[in-house]
Formats: sequence, structure tokens, C-alpha cells
Amino acid sequence: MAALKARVAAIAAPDNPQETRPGAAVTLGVEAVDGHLPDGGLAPDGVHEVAAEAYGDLPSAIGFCAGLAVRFVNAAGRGSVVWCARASAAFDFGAVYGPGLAVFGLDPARLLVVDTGHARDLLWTLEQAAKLRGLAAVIGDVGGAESYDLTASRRLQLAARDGRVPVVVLRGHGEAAGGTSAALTRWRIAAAPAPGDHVGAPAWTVALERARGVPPARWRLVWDTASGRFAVPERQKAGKRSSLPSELVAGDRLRAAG
Amino acid sequence: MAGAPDRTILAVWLPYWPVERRLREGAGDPDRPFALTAPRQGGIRLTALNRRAEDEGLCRDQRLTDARAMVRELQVADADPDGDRAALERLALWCTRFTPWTAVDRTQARDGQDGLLLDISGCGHLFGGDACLMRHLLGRLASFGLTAHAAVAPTPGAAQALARAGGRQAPIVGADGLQAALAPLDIATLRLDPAAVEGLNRLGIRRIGQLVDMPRRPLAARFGAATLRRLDQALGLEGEPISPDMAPVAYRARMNVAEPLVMADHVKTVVGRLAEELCKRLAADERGALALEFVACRVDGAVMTLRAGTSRPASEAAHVARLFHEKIDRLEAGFDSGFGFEAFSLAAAEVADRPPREDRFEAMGEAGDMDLGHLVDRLGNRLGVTRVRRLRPHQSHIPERAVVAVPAIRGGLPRELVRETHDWQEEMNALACEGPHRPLCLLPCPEPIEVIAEVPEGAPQRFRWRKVAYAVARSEGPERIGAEWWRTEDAGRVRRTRDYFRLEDGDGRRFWVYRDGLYGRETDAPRWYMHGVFA
Repeated sequence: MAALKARVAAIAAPDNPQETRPGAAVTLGVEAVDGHLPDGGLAPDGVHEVAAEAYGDLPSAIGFCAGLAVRFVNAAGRGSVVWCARASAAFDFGAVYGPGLAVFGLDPARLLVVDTGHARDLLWTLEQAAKLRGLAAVIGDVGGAESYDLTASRRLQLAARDGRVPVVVLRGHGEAAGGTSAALTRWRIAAAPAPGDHVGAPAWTVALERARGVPPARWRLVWDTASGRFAVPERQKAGKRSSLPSELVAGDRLRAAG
Repeated sequence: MAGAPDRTILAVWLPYWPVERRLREGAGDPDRPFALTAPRQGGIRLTALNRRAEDEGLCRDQRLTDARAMVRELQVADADPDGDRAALERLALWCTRFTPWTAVDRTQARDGQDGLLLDISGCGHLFGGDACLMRHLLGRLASFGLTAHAAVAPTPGAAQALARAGGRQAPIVGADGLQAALAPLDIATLRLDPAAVEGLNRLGIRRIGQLVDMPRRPLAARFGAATLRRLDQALGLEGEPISPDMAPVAYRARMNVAEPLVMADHVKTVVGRLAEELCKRLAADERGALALEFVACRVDGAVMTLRAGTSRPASEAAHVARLFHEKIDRLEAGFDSGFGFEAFSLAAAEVADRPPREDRFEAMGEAGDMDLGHLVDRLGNRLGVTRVRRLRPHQSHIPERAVVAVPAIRGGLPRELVRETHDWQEEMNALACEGPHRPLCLLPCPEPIEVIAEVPEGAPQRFRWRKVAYAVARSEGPERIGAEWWRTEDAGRVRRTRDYFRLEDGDGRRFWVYRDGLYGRETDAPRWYMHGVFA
């Protein structure tokens, strides 16, 4: 039986027999989340999808993607990040800003920014980049493009597995971003008020919509620039706003009062 | 004659070029008289004719009304000298299938003297000899519907003179028979000033042989140094270089095929072969190409040119071939092979030395660095060179100027557009210790917003952006960024200080807004703008 399994594995990945082991999963830095994910983190050779809850939450979704990029870069230790978007996406909330990324902890010198005219070119770019071994991450903003369907996502998933490159696809907002796809995990992000006195620090309500074998869940997360990882917000000062439990929150979306 | 280098120049004279060019494009009936007209002094005059019109007795500079009266069935069209020149340059580009050293003849002083100059030194043997090459060229031009006269001589001046002399002279002249061949020709073929020609005619000098016999110093004094120079150039006593239209490059691979190729796949195969040959030579010299040009000549005189650039000196044949394959794929409907391509050339327009292997690794990647360069080249060549960019920091406080997006592909771009590498380390250190005070996304252009603030100098409490109202829950600021008074490019525009605020509304959305101008000091009604959003 074991011999049969080895033969099937060899047929499935015939070109690199010694590299059939997948890379270790990349953690997000929060125990509650990593413990919930299959494999203890995000697979570094697949497609992960991120969507925003509403149109105004798109910057939060972009920020979450930037955070994921930092995690992948730190895990890989080296390599560039390819960030693709349609040229028209800059008119929604703007293009990615270098110093803003530096604040997140992502070195903008690692970034290769590509903008395309058609969605078809964008998907082609994502596929070519995903096949390139040695890239730390590929982020693609496909918006609500109809050409990103089940077939396209499956192709992208195969390319990512082939090149061992993590691909993060930003799918837009609302219901349109919820179509079926072959992605390994699917996240939905909404903006959340940030704790602490410093205005401008990232804080989100992160919901895991789909992952293989685990139920959906939701957390409140912030980004810790100093250590380059996600974190749970500290307890709020009593009286200023309602204190929220930082573990799993099921049910409806909570809105911070005050 | 002793100092002249050993060259072979082929000059082509197209006496009816403007008209025949239009007839080729389908402007009229070649069997009937055809003339081009332009408004000149005294009315509309004829500027160019075809042979049928000349046979009917018309001549250049005649008035259109007279011409119409003489020849009832004359076809007429407006003259287009710019179009003529452009079409002649395209024809010269097509003639590069014989030799890359081809140029449009721009030295003629008068109308009706359109021609080409080809330096075929050393190319004759590829076509079976200089005479065969000339016959081949004349045959092809005749098949395009062009009347052409050609001649071969050691100097451009002599070749042009012989071409214009008509068919009675032997069209191929070597260095030793040069003076004898030129002697019986009319001096008008020497490209002299019309005033000088008229003056010499009045003295009774009509042949080049008579001009050679005249004493030189009085000749120069009476008719100008230019006259003497033209004579010397024709005889080979003074050099006259031809600057080719197609810039000479050090690395070029060429291929001519006997059977014209129509399918795109066959053209791709040819690209692959040429890329192998070119890259072998580049690699042997330890060089790589930064800009490449592929030229394919069709049998009917049209030319297809494709250009590709790379971010790093490239000398891998597979990579170079793939860049052009993707360009050909992208043409799709635009790939028009007509009746087929017969001559191909792949040239490295810009080359650079390849650094030795150890220096090729950059700080950010090791084994995959070469492949990242290839990916950048393919993306840039397929999507457009300016669409694939890297971010470089720039020394400026103004936020939109603090980052420059530089195209990742260097080859083919002007120098000013490509800045040197600059890493972000200092900026990152400065930014990290102060907390998140720069937004993740910056709008391409600051957008005006309507703001209600408690005090004019204070932070907004409510604002309206893109017709949506927001209520501010928390705010921080101001961060004051002054205008850069030292920038002379902004002279004439009013420069104001900006006070930036970071705002957060009840839902947790965070904005970066600024007030343009200090209240009271710079302006009485400062405007507010939205510049970016935080994650």
C-alpha cells in the first residue's frame, strides 16, 4: 500500500521527485487563528482569496493582503513580491503607496508593481508570476472581474503549486466576490476601529469564510509593525468603548459603540 | 584617387517617384496621364508627372489650366511631399534586405530627383555579383510599378551622375574607368546649384570632362567652393560618407528565405534561429542586449518592425526568442504577411557588458534572480514597458513626490527616465519608529472634500467625500508639510503649506486629509482635500 502511494505521488509530481514535500505552512502570528487553520497556517504554494465586506472596506482588504505579504516574505527570507492590479483600480482608493508599505514593514524595494489594462492580461500576469520559483508572494487585485471564474482559479492554483509561490487574490467587495473558486482559503475583511491612542494603525474584523475541513470563524485583529505579524488588540479601556472578547466571535457583526 | 577607400556604391534614381507612389496605392489608372499639383506662384501648377503625361507634351511647372486644355483626360491629385518622403524612407528600409547600409538620397537640389543610395561593398557576392544585384533590385522595383535607373560606381556622386545620365552609359564603373566614364556626362547631373549650372552653360561648359580640364582656383572663385567640392566628391578626390537610415549596429543576424513565409509560426521559427546566432556572438564577447529590433521585409515592399527591451543584458537565446514570440502572438489580427516575408534581420540595438557571474545576484534574491529578470522582460514587453515598475524613494517632503515609480526595463528608454538604484532602508527606519503616519493607498490626485471643523485650525468633525457623509470619531494631527519653495519648476503656481490629519470614523475607516493653506496667513478660505486611506 505504501509502495502504491509512493508510485502515485511520483506520477503526480514527476519532475522533482526529491521535492514532493510541501513547504511548511506560514503562520499569521496569532495563536487563535493559526490553531484554527488546517496545517497550522497558510499554505505557501496555493491561492488564498481575500474580499472586502463592503465597498468602503476595500482599503482594509488591501491592508490585510499587505500583512499576508509580509508574513510570506518573512517566512521565505528572500525574494520579491509582485503586486498586480488593473490600472483602473487606482481610482477607487488609490494605488499602493511606498512609504505606507514601509510603515507596514514591507520593503518597497522588493516590490514589482504591474498594472494591466484588461482582466485577461491580469490573469496571464498572475499565472506567469505564480510559476516562477523563488518569488516570495504574488498579490493580484482582480476586482469583480468575471473572467476570474472557477476555471481561472484552478489554473492559478496549479501554477502556484508548480512554482511553490503563495498567491493572494483580492476579489473585490460584496456578494460578487463570493463565487466558487479553487482557492485554499477565503477571507472576508471589514474595517474596525483601532485600539490605542494612535490613529491610523490598522485594525480589522477578519472572517475566515472557507478553508478545507474547518468551520468558518471570525476574529478582531490588528497589525504589529515591530514584530511583523498580526496580533489581537489589547483590552480596551473601560468606559471608552465596549470591551470585546478577542477570541472567536460567532454570529452577527459587532459594531463598536462610541 | 589614391586616398579614396575602396567602396562600391549603387545609386537608384526614381524619376517618377511621387506619381508612381500614388499609383501604387491605387490613386488612379497608370495607363492614362497623371499629374500632381500644388499651389504656386501664378496659380496651381504641376509638380510631378508620369511618363504618359510627359509623352503627351506636358512638363513640370506648367499651369494646371493649360495642362487641362492640352490633355483633356488628365488625372490630377494634390501633391503630398511629406507622404512622398515617408514612403521613400519605407522603400529604403525595404532595400535593407540587400545591404544594411541604405539611405534616401537627400543631396539633390531640385525636384524630381528622388533616389536611394546603397553601399554594396562586399555584398555583391551574396547575390552573384554586383551586376546581378543591380538587375535583381531593378526587377523588384519594376514589379512594384516603379521606373528606376541605377548605376554602380566607387563614389556616391559618380553613381548618381551615371544613373541620371540614362541608359547609354555602362552602369557599372570601377575606380580606374571613373574619369573616362564621367567625362561625357552633362554637368547638370553633378548636383550643382542651378545658378552655377546656368553660369557654366553660358561659358560653353556642358560636359564634366570640360569641367575637369578647367583651372581649379578661378572655378572656385567664380562659382563657389561647393561646385568644386561636388566635382571632387564625384571623382573620389574628396570623401563623401553615406549615413545609413538604419543605424549601424555591431550585432546583427540576417536570414533570407527562398520561399516567402506567410504563417506566424514559421516567422517564429526564423526568430528562434536568428536569436541563437545573435546570442552566440553576444555571449562570446561577454555582452548582453538591452534593446533588440526584429525587421522582416515582405515581398511587396512593406516592412514589419518589432522592438523589445530587457531589464538586464540578455544573451540567452530562448529568452530573446520568447520575447518576440509573445509580441507576434499579441499582434494577432495585426499580423499581416501579405504575400509573405522573404528577408529577416535581428539586431541588438543597445548592448552592455554582462557582469561576471558572482556580481549578478542582487540583495533580494539568489537563485531566482535570473528568472525574475526574465519575467520582468516578458511582462514589460507584452504589457508595455511603463506598466511594470519598481518604487524608488525620492528626497521630498511632499507625499506624492516622495516615491518615484521607475520602469523596470531599462533598454530603449531615455537616460533621464531611469534612475539609479536607491534602497529604502533609511526611509524605512525613519518611518518605522514614528508609527503609521503614512497611508497604505494614495489617491492619484487629491480630491476636494467639504469639511465642518470646530475651529479653522483644528481637525474636521464631519466631512463629505464623493457625496458620502462621514462623522469623525477620532483624529490626530496636524502634521505640517511646507511647500518646497526651492523648486523653480513650480514658479507661477501658488504654493501653500499643508496640514495633514489622520481621521477615523465610527466604522473604523481611516482617512488622510489635509488643509491646503494656513488660515489667515496664506489664504482666507483654505480648501480641504482627501489624499489617501489607511488600511
